[in-house]
Amino acid sequence: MTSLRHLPEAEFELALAGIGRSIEFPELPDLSGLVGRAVAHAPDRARVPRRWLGPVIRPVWQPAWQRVAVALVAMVVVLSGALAISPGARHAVAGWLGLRGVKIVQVPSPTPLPTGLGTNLMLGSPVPFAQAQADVGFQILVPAALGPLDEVYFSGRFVDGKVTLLYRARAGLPEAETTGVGLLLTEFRAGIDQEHLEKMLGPGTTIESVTVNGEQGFWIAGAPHIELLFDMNGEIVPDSLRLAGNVLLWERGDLTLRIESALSKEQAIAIAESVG
Amino acid sequence: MGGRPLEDSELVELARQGDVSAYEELVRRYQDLAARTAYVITGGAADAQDAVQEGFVKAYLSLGRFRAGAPFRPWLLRIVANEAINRRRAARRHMNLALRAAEGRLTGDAVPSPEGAALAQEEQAELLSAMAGLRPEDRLVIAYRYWFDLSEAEMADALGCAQGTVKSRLSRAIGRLRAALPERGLN
Repeated sequence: MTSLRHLPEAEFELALAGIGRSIEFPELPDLSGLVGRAVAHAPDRARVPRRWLGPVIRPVWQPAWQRVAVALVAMVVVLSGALAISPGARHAVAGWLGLRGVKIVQVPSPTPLPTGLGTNLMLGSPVPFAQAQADVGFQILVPAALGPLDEVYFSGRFVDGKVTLLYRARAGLPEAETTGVGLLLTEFRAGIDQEHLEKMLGPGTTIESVTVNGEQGFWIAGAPHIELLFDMNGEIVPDSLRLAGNVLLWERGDLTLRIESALSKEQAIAIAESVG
Repeated sequence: MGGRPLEDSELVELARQGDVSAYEELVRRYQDLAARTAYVITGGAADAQDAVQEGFVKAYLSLGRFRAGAPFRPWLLRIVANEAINRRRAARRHMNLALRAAEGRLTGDAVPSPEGAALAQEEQAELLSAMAGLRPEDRLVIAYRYWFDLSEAEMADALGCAQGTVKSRLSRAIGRLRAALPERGLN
């Protein structure tokens, strides 16, 4: 008998076909409902979503459509059950949502670390703070409560850009399971539709209306969830999908801010309220 | 919908008109094949599931660009495979021996396929190990041909290449697979 390596072509092909039948491929649960819910809430060019809250926030797909680079949207799923099936996916992605805003702040200028803690989180490219500030079309806000940040990421997929400030885990800022870092603060211009959010969250995830410095926000907690971001053409932003943990979303003017961390709601709001 | 199952092209057309239930039927029809395809690339069930979910959503959102009358299956597989490849790159993980034969079949507890039975357990493990060491693109072309029985035309669509290059890509992949197998002879 000869080595597999030197088997005649026909026998080698037979061996290949045979081994394929012996592989234990994963058996997935029926995904049709999950996918159906996701696509049912995908942006429809013919449909304008309802306002999600008070007068401060404009609907994403209204006239603002023309100038908002990316219209945020739906949050798909992933509930505890699905997570149990795919625990390895936790660190595979990066997600969010949007509101919008504008604000002012005095900004430090840290230099990003070469280690790149956020390089696998699909946050964009690591850049020095000053460069991020130069690239985005808004004033980057920094929370005073957190001290120096560790890394800055910029993504140009949004009209005015998107910036993410990364804070390492440290005392008082535990490592988040979904990101491996202490806290991510993401800022961009987009919009959020509460109705869509609520419909697409799984039973293991809760969404709660909160107030941040008097402005409306959302606290999304419980089972990790997937957030999908759609651009104005109705296509998913390729780097927008990952499992997300506890998230606080709120608006400052026309800027949307998003904190993802392992902190409690109260702690996250306290940090959010120090932004400015 | 009547008695006969709808063709893919009919379901696609309905989905393009906003019929989500038609698209759900396509999901049910192809999620297993999509999962196998993604698994060949990622080597992990969790990443495969994520790639499948994301692939189906992206495919739906891209239906507007889907060429009417074109086969849906390879088009979907191409999207899912891209998702899986991107996910694998992002994860930067080693595949190692992620392709594992079913325990029972390796140990002989279950009824093996005739071809599989012709291979000793050690050989099966070697073959799987060599497959796992290949580039995802090589694994994919081999899997399409020998595991999923795609036609050459479907392979071309799914791989995004001309039909004429499918054979050469397959041949190169098999060459690399052979080269990755141990040299030693077996009695």
